[in-house]
Parts: sequence; C-alpha cells; structure tokens
Amino acid sequence: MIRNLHLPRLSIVDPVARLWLGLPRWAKVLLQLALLAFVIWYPSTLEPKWQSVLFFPVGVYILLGLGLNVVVGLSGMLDLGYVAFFAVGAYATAKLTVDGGGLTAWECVVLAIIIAMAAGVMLGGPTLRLRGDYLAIVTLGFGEIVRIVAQNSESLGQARGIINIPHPSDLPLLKFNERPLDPLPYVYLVLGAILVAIFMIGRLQRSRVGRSWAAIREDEDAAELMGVPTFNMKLWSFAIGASTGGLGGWIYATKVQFINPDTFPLNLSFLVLAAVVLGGLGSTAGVIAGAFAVGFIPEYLREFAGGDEVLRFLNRVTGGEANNITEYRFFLFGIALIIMMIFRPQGLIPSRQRAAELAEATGEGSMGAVAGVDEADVVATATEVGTATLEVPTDVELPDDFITRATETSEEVLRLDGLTMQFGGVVALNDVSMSVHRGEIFGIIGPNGAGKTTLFNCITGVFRPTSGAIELEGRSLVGRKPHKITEAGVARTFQNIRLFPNMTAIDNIMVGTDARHTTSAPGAVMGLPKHGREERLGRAEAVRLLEFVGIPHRAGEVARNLPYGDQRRLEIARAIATQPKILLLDEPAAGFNPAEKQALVELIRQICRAGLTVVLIEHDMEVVMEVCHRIAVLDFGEKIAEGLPEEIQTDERVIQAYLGVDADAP
Amino acid sequence: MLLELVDVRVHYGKVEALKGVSVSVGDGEIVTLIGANGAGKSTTLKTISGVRPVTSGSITFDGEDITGKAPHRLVEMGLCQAPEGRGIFPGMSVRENLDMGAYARRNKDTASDLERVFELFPRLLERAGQPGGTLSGGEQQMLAIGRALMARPKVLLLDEPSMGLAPKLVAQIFAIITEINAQGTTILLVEQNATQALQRAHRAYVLEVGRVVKTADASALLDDDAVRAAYLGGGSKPAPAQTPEEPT
Repeated sequence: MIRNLHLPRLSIVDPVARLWLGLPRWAKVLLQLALLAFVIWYPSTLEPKWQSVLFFPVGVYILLGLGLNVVVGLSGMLDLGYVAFFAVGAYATAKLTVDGGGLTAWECVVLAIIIAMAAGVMLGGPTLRLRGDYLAIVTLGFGEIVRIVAQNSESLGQARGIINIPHPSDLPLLKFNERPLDPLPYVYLVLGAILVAIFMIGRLQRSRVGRSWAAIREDEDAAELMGVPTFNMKLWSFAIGASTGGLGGWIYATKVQFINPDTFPLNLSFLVLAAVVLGGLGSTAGVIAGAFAVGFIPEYLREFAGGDEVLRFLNRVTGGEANNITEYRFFLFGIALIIMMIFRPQGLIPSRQRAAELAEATGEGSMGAVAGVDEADVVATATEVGTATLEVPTDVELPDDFITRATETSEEVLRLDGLTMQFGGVVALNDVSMSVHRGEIFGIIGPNGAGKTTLFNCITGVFRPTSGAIELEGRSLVGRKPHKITEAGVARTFQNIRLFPNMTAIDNIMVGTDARHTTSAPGAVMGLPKHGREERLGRAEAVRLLEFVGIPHRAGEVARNLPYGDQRRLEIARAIATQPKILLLDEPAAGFNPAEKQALVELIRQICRAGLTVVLIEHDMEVVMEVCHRIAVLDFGEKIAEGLPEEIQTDERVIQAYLGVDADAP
Repeated sequence: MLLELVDVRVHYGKVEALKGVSVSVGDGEIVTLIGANGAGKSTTLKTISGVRPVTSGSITFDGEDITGKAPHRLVEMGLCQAPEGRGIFPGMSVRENLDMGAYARRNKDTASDLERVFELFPRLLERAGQPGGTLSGGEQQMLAIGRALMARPKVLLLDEPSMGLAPKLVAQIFAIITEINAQGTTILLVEQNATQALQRAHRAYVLEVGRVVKTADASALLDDDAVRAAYLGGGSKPAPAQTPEEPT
C-alpha cells in the first residue's frame, strides 16, 4: 500500500521557508531588496555564455512558468498546450514588426500581449466548460494547432519562419543594440518582465479573484453556488496566463530576431509544466525554483564534461554508444525529475494550500488534524482531533445593516408553483407548489429519495426544472445561473458539507462576501481603492459572522481541520455572508448528538430572529418539530402534506410514508 | 475472541487520534461503539480494516495478527467494512456493485449470496440494473451493506449505517442488521444513533477523545445515567438520529 509508505522528505527548503515566514515585515522587505540587488548584480559577473542561458531557457521558462501557474496552480485547470500562447505572442510580434506591420518592437509589446490574451479567450470560451482530463486534451490539441498553422501558413513563413525581427530600441540603461550579441540587456529585460508578472499575479492572488480561483479549484460547484461566476473567473485565469505567455513570446522574438515552428515544440509545454509542478503548484517562489531547475540543469549537464567514468557507466547501463555525456543530459534530467517527484511530490517550495490538497489526495490527509506536516507555513493551532466542542452560540447579533429585519409575516418570499423535475423517465418532483413567508422557518421532510435535495437544487439553479415556476419576491429564478441566483438572494448549505477544505475559515466566508463585491481582475491588478475597501469590508464581515455562529477562534484555521460541528457552522456562516433573503439548510443536524442538536436549534432560531427566512431539510424530528413554523412533506416527488408541526405529526399519510408506525417508541 | 484490539494507537500527522484503544468482539456478537463526533469511532473501524496505519498496539483476527495488513488481504480473510458515506461505485449497476463485493473471494459461486442480499433488500432487486449513483440515500446504504455481505465476512464493520436516513428507514436498517447477525455474521457497529444501536447490540464501548471510557452490556448502558445524558438525549423519546462523524 503506497499510502502506508512513509517516504523520507527532502527538507532543505522547509526550514528556510519557516524562517522566512517568521520574519517581521521590515526584514522581509529588506531581504527582498537585497535579493533584487543580487539578481541585478550577479548576471553581469557571468560569462556571456551563461548570461545567454540565463535569458533562455531560464528566464523565459520562469516567465512562462509564472503564467502557466495561474492556470494550473492557482485555478486548477490542466493546460498541456501552454506553449501556444508563447508562439502567438512571438508570431504576433514578428508579423507586426517585419512585414506589413512595420511597428517598432516597443510599439507592439502591448499588442502581442493583447493578441495572446485574445487567443486565450478564444480557446477558453468554448472549452472551459470541460474539466480535468478533457480540458487537458483540448489544450494539447490547441498547442499543436498553433504550431501546425505556423508550419503551413504562407504568411507566417511556413517552416522557414520569420527573420529580421527588430530588437527593441535602446533604453537609458539597457543598450539592446549596442553590441549585437550581448545577452545581458535581455537578461534584465526578462527579469523586468518577471518582476512585473510576479507583482501583478501576486495582487490577483490576494484579491477576490485569487480567492475565487482557489474556491473553483477546491470545489467548483460549491463555488458557483456561493456566487462565484466560475466560467468568467476561469476565463480570466486563462487570459492572464496567456498574456504572460504572449509577453514571453515578444521578449524571445525580439532578442533572437528569428522564429520558426521548431521554436515552439510540444515538449516545451511539458517542460514548463514540469517546472511548475516540480517547483510547487501555486507557489511563485516554487515556480521560479522549478523553472530554474528545469532550464538550468540540462545546460549545466552539457558543460559537465569531466565525467568519462559516468559516461562509460551510462553506456554500460543503457547499452548506448554515446561519445559525449551531453547526449545523456535529458536522460539524466528525466531521472532527476522522477526522483524529485517521489521524494518531494509537493514541489521544491510548495504553497501551503496545494501541499495540503496533495496530502489529502494521497491519503495522508487527516480528519481534524494538522495536514501536511512538513509544509511551509504550518497551521499553528487546530491540534485536537475534532472533539465535539459545540458551545451554545454567543449572543452576538447580526448588525442591522446586514439583513433586512423582519418578523414572521405572511408576505411571500419564495414561491414554487407546479414545479416538476424529470430525469429521463424518472419524475423526481411532480407538480410541487409551496410558498415560504418572510421571517419564518419552513421545514421540508420526507423519505430518502423523496426529492428534497432536488428541490433545493432546482431553487439554486443546479437543475433547471422541467416545468413550473420558482419566484423570489416575485422575480423568476428559473433558467438563471447558480451564481446569479445567489446574487439574487438565495444561499444554501450542503447535506455532505462542501466547504473549501484547504482554505481558512475566514477565506471560506470571504468567498461568500465576494458574491456582493465587484472587484474585477483588472481592478485587482491595478489595486484600485475600491478593491482595498471591499477586501477590508469583507474581512470585517467575515469576522463578525464567525462570532455570530459561535466560532470566532477558528478564523485562521483551515476548514478541513475544524471539528465536524464547527464545519457545519462555518458552512452556515459562509452562506449568510452572501446576504441572502432566504437561507436553505440541507440536513444541518446530520451527525450531531443531542447536545449538538440543541445548540444548532438555538443557532437556527437566532438566524431567524436576525430576520432571515430559513428553509430546512432535516430528518431529525425533534429538531424539525421544535424549530419549524410550518412544514411540508414530500414523498416520491409529491407534496403529500403541509401544515403546522402538530398537524404534520398526526397526519396519517405522513406517518405512513415517513415517520413509520412506531418511530416514536423507544 | 474473534477480533481483538489491544492498546491501539493511531496518529494523524502529529495528532493522536486513538490513545490506546482496546476492544474485543466475540463470535456471533453485535458490538457497538458510541461516542461524540471526533471520539475516534470511525478511526477505530478504519484502523481495523487496514485503511489507517497503526502507530502501536496490535489487532488480532481469528487468532492471527493482522496489524498492518493491507485492506484487501483482510477482506479475503473475512473482515469486511461497509464504509461511512457508503462508498458505492456510482457508474456501476447495482448488480455490478454487488459483484465487486465478491471480488476477493476464491469461490466465485455467488448465486446464493445474491439471493440472500436480494432477500434482505428486495429494493435492490428492483434496481439491479440501475447505476449505483442514481439510488437514493437509503438504497445506497442498503447496497453498501449488501455489497459487504457478498464477501461472506465473518465480521462485518458498519460505519454509521443510519446516516442521513428517514426515521422509517432507520428502523428498517436496524432490523436488517439484527437479521444479518442472526444469520451468523458478527457485527461491529459504529453509530451516532446510540439509542437504536444499544437496543440492537449485545455489548457496547463508549469512546471519548480517542479512549474507551466505559464498556458494558448494551442494555446496561441504556439505563446508565451518564450515557443517557451524553448520548441518548434527555427525553424518553429517542431521536431518530443519524449521520457522519468526522470530516474527511
């Protein structure tokens, strides 16, 4: 059993990472400046040959790696054809400068980026509905198509390619044209591009946009239902990744002055992907380290000539007849990659969240315990194994501005009329009508498979009903996307808790508050003041909501490490964060013992007092009968009863279908 | 004893989830583990079935030390778990799911076993050709138990079989558990629905934060004031309770 096998970890990097995280802010800034000074000074001391290596492959790989990391590492979409955007940027530059265009290199940098971005949107638009393996294959195809089009298109120079692409004109300190073969100015050019990319991607990552990417990666459906416009956010991710690739293409083309289809082989996509995975998915420092390793090691091995012994050994082992060790460099490189991935699958410098996800996927994850023990920023607290520590909620009230205060009225909030849902020949809901009044707690009960959760799925837009109407305050919800319905004022929790397991409690809630915010990807990059305001506001609200549900001490803990009861509470807080008009709770008492159930009843009442309308699916009759104002009963997709709790308890049909004859006898 | 855990410790990372648990199950018994969320009930089952590695302590089954054995080997030996959350194969038909249950058996003549499962769960026969993923929660639970029975286990490990089930179904499932036991299968049952579990079991262990804090005949625990207060609810009416335990 692989999962029982505890592999030793290479842990040279982790102590350094821990040290780094423990530093005060000023020390970090100082160190970063020192590091910057070093990377500016050091290349000038190298021989031109190594400066060249630093430009390509190392620098270009880092830039491409950063772009690909947005797609693969941050958003969790596997892109196997990333080199296509590099090619698009380079060919755009070539066409715009050489024939027809006549632009200077500087004039077309923005154009190259925009064209690559457009290519990203063109590819993403029709394909991002695909997930996982399917998306990977589509992108793989795209990577090949771009190369083959270039190979066969007369205007792109076919196999000959395009020559005489101009260098950029000189800048005050960077003389691109002074000595034609001097790589140093280009090293600084790519360094500058890398810094810009790190800065912009970093801002995105720390914004509403980055949070939505993380949420999509963790649980795309739940993200959509919490109000994340998943399709748009994935498209942004693709476009931003593509733009970085396009910038890389521009830099490469203007330095080398010549491109042809062979510049963009398929295996370049794989090498860059290897760099990202090797370095640590989702981690900027990791991607840089990974790209450096992938770019530099084969070049280093080329120089490593002294190894006659090694050469003979390799010839003997592989039965080869190489005269020079360089012929083995990719072989050695491949072995190094395999060894790395066995001993440190989370990457050289992993991101905390991705390392935790990996631990989970390999069965090393734990329930209610600290995950990924050797990861960089160790989750500090959360050490007890999910003991049931459910306190009765504190008496923190939701602030007045948070939700419209109302007491139970007969005003209709949610109305279902003749709702029918068929799957093939199976009728899951048949002509169900009900209306939920503002400020009440409305229970829905019924046997397993009666259609209760299907009803929630119809209301929240997961399913589109076959026929019938769903109206929230008189406006139809039918046919709207789930995130639009969340915006309109419907929030829900899930039967089998669907938090974003590797995000902190506060970030989970902020995905909810984000549903009401508008910071866009460009806004986040530019750091607009509005964005900062929204971020502060969202964080403050998240803190208040954690207090409201009674788990303020869990703010910084990763959702997965919370005890079961606290996870249920967190999920409720996340749903309330979207400021819903109506809150749908799907079996919130599942798995609770009597004490925990009592605390939940209190919490639901408190939510109701705060003015929210609640619809509750629950099997636990004590909870249902105690807390609900009115109850509807579903059986085989049909509503068989509706009324006050005491009416339902004595209804013959309900007893027959659901409660069972002696359900009350101990 | 057919199954015996002696001072078993289990860690999740640095955290000790089981702090020296000793549990024994005799041939033909129904033994139940009760306790709050996070007490270590599911972990105990997962440790027995080999899904979680043991830090120290020993597990013997049928006179043989099974500590550290791979789960599929344990199934061959006659120790089978119906996992919490059911874990049915959603793309396979009900019939194929049941066939998977007999996967580890050398004797592939499963006709009589199928007949037995369909007798216990007539609903599964109606759904035999339907993909497992399209079953309702209660049917999936039946399928999970039925699939475990296909391995002809000596000991059946049940993790929260009443989870998420309607009151009427809860009663049915517990009746079937009693029936399976009467047919000769030993059962170790983890339940949040402590009242029902104690009514059906012969003996019980109470777990708290990774330790066994009490063990007695099930009927004695039903009358135990401390247990009543903590796990059975104050009132005389039992909560038709259900469901999962730890986050996974």
